[in-house]
Amino acid sequence: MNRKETTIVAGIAGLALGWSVPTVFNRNPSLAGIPTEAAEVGKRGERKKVSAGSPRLPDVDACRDLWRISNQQDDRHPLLRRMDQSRALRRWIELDPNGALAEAERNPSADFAGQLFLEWISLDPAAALDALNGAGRPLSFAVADDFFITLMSKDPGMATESLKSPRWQNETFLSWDFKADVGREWMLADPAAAIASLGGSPPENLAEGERGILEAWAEMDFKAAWAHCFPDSSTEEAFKSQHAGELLARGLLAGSPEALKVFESLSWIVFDKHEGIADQMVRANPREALAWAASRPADDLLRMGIFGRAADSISSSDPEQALALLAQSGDSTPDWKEAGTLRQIFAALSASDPSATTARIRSLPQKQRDPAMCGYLTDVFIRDPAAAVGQCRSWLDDPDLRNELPKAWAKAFSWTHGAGMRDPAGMLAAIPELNDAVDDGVLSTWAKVNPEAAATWISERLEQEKKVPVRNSGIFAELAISKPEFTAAWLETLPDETIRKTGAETLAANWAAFDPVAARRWIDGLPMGELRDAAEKGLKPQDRSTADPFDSQ
Amino acid sequence: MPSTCEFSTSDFLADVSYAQQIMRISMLLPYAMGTVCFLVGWKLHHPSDVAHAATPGRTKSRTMGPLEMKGSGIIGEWAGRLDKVDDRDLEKFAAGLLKDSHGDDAALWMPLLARWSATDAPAMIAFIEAKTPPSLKPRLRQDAWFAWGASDPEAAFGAAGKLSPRLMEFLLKGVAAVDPRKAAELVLQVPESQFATSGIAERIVTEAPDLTEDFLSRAVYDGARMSFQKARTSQLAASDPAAAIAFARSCGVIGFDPVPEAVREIARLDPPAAVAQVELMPSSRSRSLCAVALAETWASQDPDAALRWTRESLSEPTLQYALLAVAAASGNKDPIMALDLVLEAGWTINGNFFSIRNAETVTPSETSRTPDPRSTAIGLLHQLSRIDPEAARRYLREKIPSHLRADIATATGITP
Repeated sequence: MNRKETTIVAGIAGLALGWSVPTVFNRNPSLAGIPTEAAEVGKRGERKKVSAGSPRLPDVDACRDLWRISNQQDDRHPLLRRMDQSRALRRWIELDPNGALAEAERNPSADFAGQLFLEWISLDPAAALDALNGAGRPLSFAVADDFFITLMSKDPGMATESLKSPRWQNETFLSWDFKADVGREWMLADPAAAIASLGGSPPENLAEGERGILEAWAEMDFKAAWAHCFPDSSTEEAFKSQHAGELLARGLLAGSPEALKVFESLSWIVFDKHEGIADQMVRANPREALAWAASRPADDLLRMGIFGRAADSISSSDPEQALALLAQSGDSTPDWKEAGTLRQIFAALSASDPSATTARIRSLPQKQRDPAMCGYLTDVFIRDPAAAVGQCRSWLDDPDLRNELPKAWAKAFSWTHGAGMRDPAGMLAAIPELNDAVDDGVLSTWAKVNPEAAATWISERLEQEKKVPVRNSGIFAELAISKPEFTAAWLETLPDETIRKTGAETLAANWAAFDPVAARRWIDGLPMGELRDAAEKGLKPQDRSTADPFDSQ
Repeated sequence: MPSTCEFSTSDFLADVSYAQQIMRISMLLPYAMGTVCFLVGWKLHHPSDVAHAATPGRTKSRTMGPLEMKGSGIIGEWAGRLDKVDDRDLEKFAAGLLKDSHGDDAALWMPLLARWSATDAPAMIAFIEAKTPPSLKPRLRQDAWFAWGASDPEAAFGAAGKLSPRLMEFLLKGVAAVDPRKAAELVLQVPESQFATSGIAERIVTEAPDLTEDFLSRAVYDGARMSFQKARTSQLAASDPAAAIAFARSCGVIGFDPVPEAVREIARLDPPAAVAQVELMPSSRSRSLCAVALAETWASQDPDAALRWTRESLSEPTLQYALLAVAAASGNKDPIMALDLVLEAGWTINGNFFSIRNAETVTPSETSRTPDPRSTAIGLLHQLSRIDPEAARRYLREKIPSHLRADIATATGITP
């Protein structure tokens, strides 16, 4: 070797040595300034090492074990167990991706399936997408929403392209908010591309994905988002679009001066705009919205709207403050919304001190009494049914409150008002006066809990020639889907021809949907006449879902 | 000419001739070149230079740095590095991770947030708010508040201030992960507390079951009950299938029938036990929904057994829906066989118990999940097309009825 060659060789060797020394001495090139192990000796004390005891994962069984163990409670921080779950799933995918996918297919709704796909994205987004595209419908149904939102945050290009494919364009199981959520994620991951995708749709025709992009944009830069949507519009024209309020709510919460300017030019606009903005602001963050509202003048409509909406938001957690906010909200809260808020407030007050709550109800203005009584009964009937009966009797004896009780009681026993499943039979037996208060909601709830008892109550009322609220209760449908044989026999005993015909039609329609042979047998056994005609009518398909699915294509 | 290996210091000093000295000095060139190149190599690969190579907020290359090893190994490697870091250097460590090509990998942040939340959580939150890019911030915020909730529930809750309901949910989940009773106490103090319980219901039902009744009685809305009811059903499904069915039935059909969900949970663990429960049920909408749920869940584990039971035990229209459910759940194994099940089910279903006629109230949520032959066939053809495009074209051409072919071809993007 001559000198020239020796010099070149020495240079290459020196370069290689210089390059490699940081790694050799554990100087992590991508972690600038992080102390080396040597520098740390003696500083760490007794702190438990995160990496200590992490098992090796030589095969799928080891991954399965680690997944199982990391789902069990131990004394580690839960995020460390989640880290182990990530390790287990990633290694599983490395070792046997088809096996991992098959495991997810076996149990699509479990955490395993959802988390597997998120880890797969971290490993290899293209392979993860390929796996999802090959997955069966139940698994796709369970994981697709989170998958695409995560993929959008990691690789917006891949996410947007794949969502345009026929596989996903025609998918019906993606959630209602999915497109808005994906749009929002796109805006966060790649704002320029997301904004460029908006095109020139008029604000009133925005697609859901565009709405997500614009809302995120309004939080980041209200002025630009507003100018994009309403370049030449006056504020009045802008508010013809439902999206104007949504953008403004986000701009105001983000503290945008331009949003405040738009809002202040709004004062002449009808109040319902303020209500929508208040709703958006409180939904996004009740405490931020309250702080914003507190900074506004006392007669500001949006301030009052936020107070009313926030009262609802804190009604269960802080009923006293909720009552105070409701009082300051003036007339800005619609009666139905105020009633719902009062119901929650008094359910919460009753949970902590029932007797003080009943005393307080008495001192309320008249229009607030019935929702407050309903809240009290909603809570107390579950905790102490005997006390609920006693209180109802007491209110019935009170000339100031007796007129409010029937309405309050009916709501407290209606699933349509959120009461859940509750059986009114005991209460009706104890306080017969309440029979006249049974309405559609109570009857429908009763039919869910005890169909035969609800049906018997109807028979008895009809025999007594009293009113029965069957028209909008859905009671025949409730009976038909749960007790068709009983319902068939019961219908024939009813004295009211109209009710019998309505019942027969509904029974036939629902019974035939799951047991057409039994339904046909019942109808064939009916004597010729109006009842049988009504039942036959029920067998005719009414909606597309019972017909050929291709009819709609 | 002597080779470099023959050169020695004593030889050099012994020689006095200038020309000879020049000659001897030139022999040092390889050493000098080696030294200079060493320094250049060191400088080029100096840590601080590489750390600045990535641009925050952009999708970065995955080919740089020692963390370039992919997969599960990176997590263990990272945890090992974190173990060597002093508590006072966690922020510097986080900044390094942020600049790394794997800075957006949630699994790498987990051990760091777990430790930082226990040592200096306010600094952790301040770092995430100030330093992380918009694409990463929402997820890191969630994990950070979860971590703080688990590390120090009182302090985290005290610092939560105007935290959005969404982030409060993560804080409470963190608390519930270590102390469900504390989470139960705190959730009653937050806005929208009726709904904030959903994230902690499962932990309360399993770890502090005595509190469940109190939450159920406080519920003024269905949404506040359903998460507790679902968790309780799952718990019972594993221990007492009959009790799980009875409990689900007691929750009522409010928006949806919870009994099929109980059957699904039972079937996931023990299909024959689910069969026994379904066969005890009288003819009703609920029984039909349960049969379809069982067929689907069972088919994802053992399609042959599920299919056998479906064909032997069910009649139309439940049979048709169950065949579609088996097809959808087993299509990944054999899409052609699954497509044949769609043909067996038929293109027109003779009844629809997923929706309810004249219910006069809300549309049950099952309606949106009604299996139908068209969308099932489309999904299966997609699956077949990925494995064997020619087979998918052939199936479309030869087995899909001619009056449906054009529509399905358009929906799948397959040219017959």
